[in-house]
Amino acid sequence: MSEKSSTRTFLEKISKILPEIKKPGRKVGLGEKLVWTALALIIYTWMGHTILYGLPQGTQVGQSPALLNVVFAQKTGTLITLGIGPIVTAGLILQLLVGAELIKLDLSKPEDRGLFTSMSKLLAIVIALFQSAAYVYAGFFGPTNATQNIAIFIQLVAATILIMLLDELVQKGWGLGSGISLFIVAGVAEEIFVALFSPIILPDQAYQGIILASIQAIFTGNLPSILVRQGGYPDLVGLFSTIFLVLALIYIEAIRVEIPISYAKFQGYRAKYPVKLLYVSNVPIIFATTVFSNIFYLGSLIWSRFNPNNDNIFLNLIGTYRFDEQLGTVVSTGGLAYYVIGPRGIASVLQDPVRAVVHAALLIVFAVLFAKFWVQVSGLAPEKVAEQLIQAGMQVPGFRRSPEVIAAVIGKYIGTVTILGGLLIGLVASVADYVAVFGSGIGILLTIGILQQYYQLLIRERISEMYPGLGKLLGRE
Amino acid sequence: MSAKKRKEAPMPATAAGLLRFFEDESTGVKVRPEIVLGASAALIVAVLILRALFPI
Repeated sequence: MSEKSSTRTFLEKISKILPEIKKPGRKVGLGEKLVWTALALIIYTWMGHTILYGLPQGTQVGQSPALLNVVFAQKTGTLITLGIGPIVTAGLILQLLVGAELIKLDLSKPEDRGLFTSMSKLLAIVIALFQSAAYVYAGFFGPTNATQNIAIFIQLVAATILIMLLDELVQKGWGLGSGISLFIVAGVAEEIFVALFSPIILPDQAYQGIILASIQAIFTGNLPSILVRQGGYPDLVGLFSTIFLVLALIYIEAIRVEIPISYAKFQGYRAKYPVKLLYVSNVPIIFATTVFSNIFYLGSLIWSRFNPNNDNIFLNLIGTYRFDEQLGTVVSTGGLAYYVIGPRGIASVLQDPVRAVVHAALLIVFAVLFAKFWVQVSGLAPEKVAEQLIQAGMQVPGFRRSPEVIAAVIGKYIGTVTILGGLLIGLVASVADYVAVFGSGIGILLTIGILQQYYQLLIRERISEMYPGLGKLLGRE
Repeated sequence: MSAKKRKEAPMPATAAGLLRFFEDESTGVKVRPEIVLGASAALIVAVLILRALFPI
């Protein structure tokens, strides 16, 4: 016990020197919030277009080794090579540890919450140090000398700390919503824009942007050539899949079971408690992706240090890799690291259908597991919801007003939507990539969810701006 | 009505699936947002200048 509390004092000491954004300490208007949010976004995007100092000449930038970079808003070879990866990974690890009660923190206490925040920041920095070192050691940027390695390492760590603060800036009352969500959406939006309009001519002699490629194909009368393109380039199948996926997701987002509730005190006050099909939203897929990408990166580290020739049978199970000259980065060719990354485009699926099936299965299983876990950890569990409803003086008509009974009524639905939602999200995220959806399946999933949150947030901000009294009523404590 | 209900059964504050607790003032070194934006811009400009003038 005393050993634990000394760890705690140590962490509390460290938390005193961690940089932290000053709270506004005043009411920030909607207009000003938009400015801060836009500034943070512009800086982040600019970072994404700033190539690292010390990167070998001719290294291609922005080509992802994995398609996992959407979730972490990463762009290989730039200042956001690590993106928000360390922040998300650190948060996930801490949440898992707290959720499994391996770290004893009571998140209903303010001082424990403060410590949780400091610890996740500290862990994010540690992960950034580790990942930056891993990137240069594993040779992600090709052959680099010691000076280049040190320069890249420093830049990546510095950028991560700044990104952490940028996110905090947005979230801590200066901006709107969360920086992390914003950076993800910006990355996906950029990718979709490029897929639509990029004027770069790719090796198959067609424009990268599908709109330009279509016009070009109509003139040459060779429309079938861009129906399906090799190498996961934007094609017509991808375009129509993207449109379909966006519409389908907006529809799915609205599917819900509404449980009637009423006030115990006032007869006639009736309301509905919605249990959405995507009750757990995108969280499971982010968790799954975090695990997968870390398998990929740790695997590549092991490969470069202990198994560069791919001849150790046991280490080959973790992953075999090679350095792709054309992409300018490391790609996985076998083992677990190969299957955690799905093939992109119908052409690659047909090349190795087994990979597609295994990847989809992995993603779905992990998504369901994490969905179940997330419901327990995040206070979405039926028992918690029942407790909140009763505290608010609500009841489910026709049932006794006891937490157990209400939890049982709600739990019936929550249990189902948790598994179903996880399943659906896992399926969409994997299959969407097989038809080469623009911005990747996970990217579109995240974007739709985040944009909807932002839409609601903006409406709420507008209302509270115009009618301060009403705003208080609308969900702001 | 639905808005009222939302207030009473709040969802936890999550961003990209992370529990965040920024509403609590903790004990770290306070930085103004201008400083963070400035420092980020400075890093970018420094990298650009180094790349242009002192390639390694």
